[in-house]
Amino acid sequence: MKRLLICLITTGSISFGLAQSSSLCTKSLNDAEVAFEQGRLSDIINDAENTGTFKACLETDVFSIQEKIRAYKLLTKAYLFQDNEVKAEEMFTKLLRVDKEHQLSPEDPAELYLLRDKFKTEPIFRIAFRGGVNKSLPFVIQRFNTTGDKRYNEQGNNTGLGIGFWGEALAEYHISKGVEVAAGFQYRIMSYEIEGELIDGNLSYLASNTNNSLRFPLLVRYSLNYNEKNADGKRKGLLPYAFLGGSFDYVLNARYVDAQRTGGTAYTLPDESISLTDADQVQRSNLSIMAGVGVRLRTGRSRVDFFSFELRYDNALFNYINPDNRWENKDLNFGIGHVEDDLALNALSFSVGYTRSLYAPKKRKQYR
Amino acid sequence: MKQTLFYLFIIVVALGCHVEDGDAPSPEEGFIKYYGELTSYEASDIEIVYDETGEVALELVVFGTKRATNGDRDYFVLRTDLDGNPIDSVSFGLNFALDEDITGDGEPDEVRTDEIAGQIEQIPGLGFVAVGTSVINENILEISDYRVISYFFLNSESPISVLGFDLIEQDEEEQNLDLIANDIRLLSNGNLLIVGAKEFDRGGGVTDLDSYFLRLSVEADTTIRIFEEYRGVQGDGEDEEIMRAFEKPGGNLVFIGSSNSPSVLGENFGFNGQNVLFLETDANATPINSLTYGFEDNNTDVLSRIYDEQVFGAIESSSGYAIAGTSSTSNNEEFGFLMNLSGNGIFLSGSNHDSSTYNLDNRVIQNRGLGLTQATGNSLVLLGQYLSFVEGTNTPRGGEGMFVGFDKGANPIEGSENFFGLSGGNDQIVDAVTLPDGKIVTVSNIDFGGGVQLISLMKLKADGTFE
Repeated sequence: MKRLLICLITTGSISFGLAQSSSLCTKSLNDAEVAFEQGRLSDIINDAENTGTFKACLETDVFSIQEKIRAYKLLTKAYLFQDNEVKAEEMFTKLLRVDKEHQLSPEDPAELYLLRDKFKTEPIFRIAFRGGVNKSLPFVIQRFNTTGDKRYNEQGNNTGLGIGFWGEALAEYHISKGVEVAAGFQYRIMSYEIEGELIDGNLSYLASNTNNSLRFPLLVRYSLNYNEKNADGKRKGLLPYAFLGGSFDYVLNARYVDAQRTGGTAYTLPDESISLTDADQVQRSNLSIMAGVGVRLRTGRSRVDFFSFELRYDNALFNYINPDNRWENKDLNFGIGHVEDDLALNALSFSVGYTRSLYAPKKRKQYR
Repeated sequence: MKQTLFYLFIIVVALGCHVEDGDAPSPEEGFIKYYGELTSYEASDIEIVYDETGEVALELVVFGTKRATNGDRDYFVLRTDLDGNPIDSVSFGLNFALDEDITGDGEPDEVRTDEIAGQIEQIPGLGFVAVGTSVINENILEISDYRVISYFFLNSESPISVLGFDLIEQDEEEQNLDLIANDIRLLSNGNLLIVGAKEFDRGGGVTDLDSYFLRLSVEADTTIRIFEEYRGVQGDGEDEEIMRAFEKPGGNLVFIGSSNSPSVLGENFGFNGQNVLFLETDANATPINSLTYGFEDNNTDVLSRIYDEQVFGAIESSSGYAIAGTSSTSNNEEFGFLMNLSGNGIFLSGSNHDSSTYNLDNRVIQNRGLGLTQATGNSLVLLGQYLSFVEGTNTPRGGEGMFVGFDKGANPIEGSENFFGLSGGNDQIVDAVTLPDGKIVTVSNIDFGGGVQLISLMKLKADGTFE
């Protein structure tokens, strides 16, 4: 009980101390701003550089984030008007570390605008992480039937939807005016289901194909509202975008997770015949082109990171099946009764993502 | 925004594309196709259907049987295009209405038959004629089993249908003895030649089969028997049966089958057994030349025991006649064979197929030779069935369709051996044709188990692989 009482007293004392300090710092910041308005720039700088409260507040990290922004901006302006450009740049760099892409207001002096233009305020690049679901859309290039009908992903005819999952990490770079390039890697699990009939309605099979791929997408994106501001001067928080790109795809593993025929004596594909990659029945490498639309929502204190929602269409350019080995799996060709079509394995996907902007505030090369 | 969406729509539409591989084989260049319903089908013959000039291949016709809903086995004719796509089909079973009510159910009884398909032949300008054997087996009517020849005509237009049929049976006093048809041939003068076997009762419970030849003149509704002949060795089990017939340019007839006559080359250390029979007659079936051949002992552990050859198929080849069949050993092992004879019946070459390609332990796999086709480059393809074996991956397999290429010296061509079928089924390739492009279309009976057996066409390269 005694120990608890000591803890409560200690915690209360610290909180009271912090509150006192915070209150003092806020007052000192307010006083500094008044001094700036009154043109007493030396007082501000003296307080910040020597042993004044203002300096102590900056060094002890008592300021809130917003107060830090106000403080660094105030010092930047003070140094600017004192013609101490070196110190002004130092303060502005500190300001940008606290508030990425700090937006100037119309009331800010022209000198500050000029200083801002000497700095690289945009992110050096962004890292985006996405995850989502995909629906395979097998496109049959050439049909190799065993007489009866064959259907892909037709829910309601025993086949499923062909749903898979994927995750992606991209490094993004803003080129200009909302145009960005992005590259990275993606891991994709995709599946499709086939229902085939050897003889209509009587002898049929169902086969589910799953493949895991490592993909290396490269895309160009255009975002609306990238640098647009609302009437209140704040940057727009909703950024619709569209993109176009391509991808090198490498199939890590492709297999039939379930393949069975009914009619006659029911037959299930044996373990040694389920892997298409082992039998070299799929093309390991492929190229895709992709396009999509989405929307990014600014998030975070500085509103420079994003949550995003995206709809994407992947179109494989080349045949997924290796035509040289189409007939190599006798258990599949005869036991199941399935012969692989030539098909492009396309996909429609929906994903959510988070984008983190990374900064290294510094003067532009030409001003160094 | 609307403009952006519009352009995006254009992009997405443009994305629906792929790169065509010009070297990728098309579905017409190699295929497996199945035909039938959820019952048992069994093919015996496939032929190319030509146009009126006899030079342009138009379609394929398959002859076989199917198990009908009433349990009988009926004839079945299927037509497909050259890509194996079905055009039409027809099934046809024989039912005979009796005048009497043997069963006592108040209704005149009916005799139904099980059909065994033989061969089908194109008749230019008419359609087709097919021949087979109908087995009369109605125990309920107390009729003992016996077989009769049945042949029927089909139109060439679609849908294909049966124009008419006829039965040929033994004389009334020998009505319960078999009459079997294996082949039908349209002769150059328009006559039909039916060949097979005729059963004789030699007395004392001894019956055997003799070769049977029937030449018919069919005009309108009139059928005239030009000749009906038989020949063979008399004795218990001394069977002789003709499997295929050919007409030589001068009108002579060549018959190829199996006979118990001793081989002219004295093979098998004097053992008699069944041998390959080559019989040439004049146009009226008067024998000119008769020769029989078996396989010589080649001092291997397996082949030294072979003594019986049973012919299943024969074709005219570049060197004369090529014959496919099965040799069986004294301990009931079976091995397919291919034999080449000259146009005059001289033995040119032959060998048994004793491959161990698909066995891990290099043991020879038993197999049956059931048919053959002439491939490009004067090579021949032996078709048939591997009996059960264990494949390299330790997968036990039941009967599998067999495809083996042979050169004109009857030596197996390396790399042109393959098997097809379900691991658990009793599958077999029974016949094939070689298309003008050199590809081979085989006809198989694929066993899906549970009483379901389908006819399958496969289009293969000459080496037995798919394009």
